[in-house]
Amino acid sequence: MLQIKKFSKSYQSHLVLSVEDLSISPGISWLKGENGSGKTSFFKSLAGILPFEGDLVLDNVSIKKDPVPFRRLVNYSEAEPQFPEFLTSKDIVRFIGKTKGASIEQQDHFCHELGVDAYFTKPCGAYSSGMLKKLSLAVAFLGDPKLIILDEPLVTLDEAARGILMRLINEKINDPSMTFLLSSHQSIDIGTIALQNIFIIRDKSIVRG
Amino acid sequence: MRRLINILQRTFTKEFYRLNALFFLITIGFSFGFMSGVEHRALAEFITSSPVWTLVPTAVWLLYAIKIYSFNNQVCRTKEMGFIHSLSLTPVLTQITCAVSVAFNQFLPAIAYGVFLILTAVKNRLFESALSVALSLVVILSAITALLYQRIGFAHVETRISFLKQWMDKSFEKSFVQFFTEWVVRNQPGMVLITKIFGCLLIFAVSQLYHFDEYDHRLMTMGCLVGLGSSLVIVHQFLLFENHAFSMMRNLPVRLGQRIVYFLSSMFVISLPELIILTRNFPDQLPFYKLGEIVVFSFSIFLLGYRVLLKKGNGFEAFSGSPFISFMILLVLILFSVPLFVLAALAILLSLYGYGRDYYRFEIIEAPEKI
Repeated sequence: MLQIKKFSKSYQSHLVLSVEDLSISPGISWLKGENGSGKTSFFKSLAGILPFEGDLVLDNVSIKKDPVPFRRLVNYSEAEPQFPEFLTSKDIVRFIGKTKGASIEQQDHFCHELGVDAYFTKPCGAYSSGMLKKLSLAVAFLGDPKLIILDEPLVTLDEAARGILMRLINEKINDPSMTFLLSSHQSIDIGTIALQNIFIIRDKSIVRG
Repeated sequence: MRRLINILQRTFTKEFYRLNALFFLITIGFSFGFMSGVEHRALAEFITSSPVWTLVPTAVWLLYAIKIYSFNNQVCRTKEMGFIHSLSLTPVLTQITCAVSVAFNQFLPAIAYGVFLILTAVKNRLFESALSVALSLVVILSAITALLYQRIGFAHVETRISFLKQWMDKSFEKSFVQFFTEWVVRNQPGMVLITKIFGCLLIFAVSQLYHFDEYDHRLMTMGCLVGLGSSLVIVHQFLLFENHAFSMMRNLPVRLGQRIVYFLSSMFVISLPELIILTRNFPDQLPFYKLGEIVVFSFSIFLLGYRVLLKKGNGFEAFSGSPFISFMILLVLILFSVPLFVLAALAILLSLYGYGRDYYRFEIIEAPEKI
């Protein structure tokens, strides 16, 4: 269970998003919002990348009190992933996998599933946006997360990769304590995944859809 | 054409001078603050006395050209500058004119000094020196122009990966320290080179003073503080890397202690040239343990610099104001023989306290242009 308490995110004095109190139960949740509504800022705050006011508690672990254990529980895939162009998928997967406590077998498994192994030792500067996206998605499954945030996971993915991603989500969601938080401007096919909740960003706040 | 040149001047030239304003201020302050007009003329006469001596300013201009090249390269790589590559659709003459115009304006400070040298040489009828200076300027300016023309015109050149890199990528696994060091060397080659040359030369020069007179450790410490302290620009790059270029780092469950180890290890690798020069030339008059003290003290300053950046913002300007005054106070404290381990311990304690408090609160407010 993810609890959001007195959350607010501002850039200097400009308030982007404010959530007084919200609980997100395990399962797959879809966060909807217009361009610039603050979805990515919210996701980055959840992932511990951006600072914010308030607190986030996931399975009784607070990001403010236990920043390191919290980050072990939360994985994030960016909408437009960027990595230093001289690094290879191998460098990134091995480094992030090690910090997330993922075994080599698990790292190779997700890379194989998403087809990252085909360009595993090539530098990121030579990748297409789809290849970067697959790498970012593979990284988001590493370790033993309880919350996986996928920002626009379907963008730039080909049909086959979308199917694989949906299968991976369905496999992972078998764990009853697992939460997925997705955002997408494309419609998510309800038949392929069991969508639990829909949240909408409205008037700089998040409401249930 | 005029409109095109105007766009390029705003995106390349103006940005180049804006982002390097501090560098130019320091250079101007250094050049005109310490030397009078008579001394400038004497120096110019000395440089132009022989064509061989003109190689000295040529070397400096080369470093400056690397800085320009590195900046232009980065600008062309950024996403928002993608439009610039549509220039390749214009006639070749237009492209070349645009590139010459940008390169000329960026290289202007070097050209101005070069003209001064040429006039001095001509006045003293040293035509070989004048020709040598003019030739250097033309060659370097042509090189900057050609590289810019190539970068603008050929946006989507095929990325060729050398066999050595392919082999290394397959055989080895990079650590975080390599992530950062390779990133900073690739992104800021000019800055790294200039910082290293400056640091090494200063430490070497200070160590040589001990051959001519009796000094205690304070002179060496101050030399190292300024020499190694110039690497604070690289500390700033570390901040940009960790929080912007590889922002995923903030999502990783890495303890603050481990993050500090990453930082110090990266700075150790980057500072190896200065450390080698210091170790090889450490004055015999000083006890060897002072070397350890100086190194620890210098690294505590890196740590303090990082803490200042975390507290005051992502811009290098964070080092102006009170941190700059603190730096001066530090120099005075060294002069008053305050033990180095006390200063180092104080710097480390302050850094660790601030690091723990500010690391997770830090955010890059404005996306830096140079990543």
